Amino acid sequence: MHSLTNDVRFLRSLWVSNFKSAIEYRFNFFLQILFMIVNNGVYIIFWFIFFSNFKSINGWDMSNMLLLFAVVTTGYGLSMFFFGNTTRIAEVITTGRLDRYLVLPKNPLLHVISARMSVRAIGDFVFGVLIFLFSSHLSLRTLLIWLACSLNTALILTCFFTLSGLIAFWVGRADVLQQQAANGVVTFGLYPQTIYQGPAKWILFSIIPAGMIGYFPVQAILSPNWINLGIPLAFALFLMVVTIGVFYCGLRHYTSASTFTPVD
Amino acid sequence: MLKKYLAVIVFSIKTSLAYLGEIFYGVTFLLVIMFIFCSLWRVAYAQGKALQGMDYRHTVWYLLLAESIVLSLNPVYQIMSNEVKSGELVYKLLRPVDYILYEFFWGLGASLTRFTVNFITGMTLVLLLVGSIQIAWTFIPLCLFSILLAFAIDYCISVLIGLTAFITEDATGIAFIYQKVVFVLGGVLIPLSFFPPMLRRVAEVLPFAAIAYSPAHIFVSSSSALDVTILLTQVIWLLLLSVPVIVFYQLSLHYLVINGG
Repeated sequence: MHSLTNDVRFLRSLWVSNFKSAIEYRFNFFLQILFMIVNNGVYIIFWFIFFSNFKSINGWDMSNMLLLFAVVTTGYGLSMFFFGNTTRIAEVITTGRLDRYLVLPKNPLLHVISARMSVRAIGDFVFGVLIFLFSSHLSLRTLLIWLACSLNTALILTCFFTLSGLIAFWVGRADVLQQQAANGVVTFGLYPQTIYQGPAKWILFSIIPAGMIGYFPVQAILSPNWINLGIPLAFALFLMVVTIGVFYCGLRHYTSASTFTPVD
Repeated sequence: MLKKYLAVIVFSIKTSLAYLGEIFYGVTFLLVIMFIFCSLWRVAYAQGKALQGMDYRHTVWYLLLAESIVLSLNPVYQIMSNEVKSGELVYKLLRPVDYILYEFFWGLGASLTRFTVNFITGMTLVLLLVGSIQIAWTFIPLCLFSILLAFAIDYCISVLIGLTAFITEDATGIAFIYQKVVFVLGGVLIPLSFFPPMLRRVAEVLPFAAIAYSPAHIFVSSSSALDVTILLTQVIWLLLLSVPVIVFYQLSLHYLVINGG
């Protein structure tokens, strides 16, 4: 309990410090947020044009797509805001910079994934919130479910990005593989998972958890039940346990580069 | 004079081929997006036969060519921005070649290499998932010419964006907006044929469509009569954009600050 309290206090200090650093250049800060909103807005325009030609895709229409974006972009924004260093873990391990975290009296896994904050992620978060507020499903119940699903999506993405980077303990050029895996899960996650068949569908609900961050949350908002809410939650908790286990297992294979200079 | 610029292209291609692994890593995104498009449009077209004059196969092949082109574009604005910030620009200005032409031919070599790898890899996936379409072989040279024009038009716009770095030292913001505009108005995510009529008419005459839509449209339309206005639009935009490139380049050199050391 004492350790958990210490970790929470440490994370809070780290996040405040990262945020203060990010907001140092105000103009650039707000510009980055605006760019991400524009970036995501482009895809909404695409879907508006698409659904003006096709009424629905295997039961999914424009309102489902708005909910999908509302959950995935909000979850991604939360993940990258609080744990923005997850996508660089492979690089940290392969360059030996993990030493800097191992020598400090703090939880090394929490420290390394929270060492950075993505400013653009705030744009994703703001976009997701705006999309949900303007969707046709706004009510107190759906708001709470959307919040819960977004947090769960954030947890899944954090663990997935971390796990894909931890293969660097065993595999070379893992930074490129991690980047591909991270891009893959987000790209697949922002398209309706109902368009896939056979093995592809199974893969997208397991190894590349696009369905867990997209399909189930949307279904949970539209028809909340224990399956739509429970399966992604169970998956997130399972992934978290696996990630922690793989990290400590990987540490046994890690070779120090004797790099003890201050953390990034 | 052309001989030295052709040598630049050859050297650029050789450099790209030396790092072929890097190009193949980039191909992964193309394969992911083409797999998604094949799945998405298969379900969409299951509702009917042909829409807006395009059927499932033609739509997917259109998107393959458009994506292959866009993923091969050379980020000249970034190169110029980095060269201004690092001071490396001064070494290139001292060379006995025109800086703008040098960057164009160097970028063209890299883009052609990336495009070839992208298209062949994507084509393999599309053939497996979707099958082939009928292509009139006489249209292939026209399609290749259109792709070259597309690279040249993108280069002109990228240079204009990059020249702002001579003043501001960072052009990434404007470049980001430009990329997104190309995605939408260039017909990269969805063919312009599916746009609302008014928006389609506007998009077709803008330079962004000349980068992705024009070559892709020629490629999938090669079984019917060629729309010459598409090629003409590309040539006109290239000529129109060349003028501000030449003018602003000369003006930017006056604003350029080079710190010695």
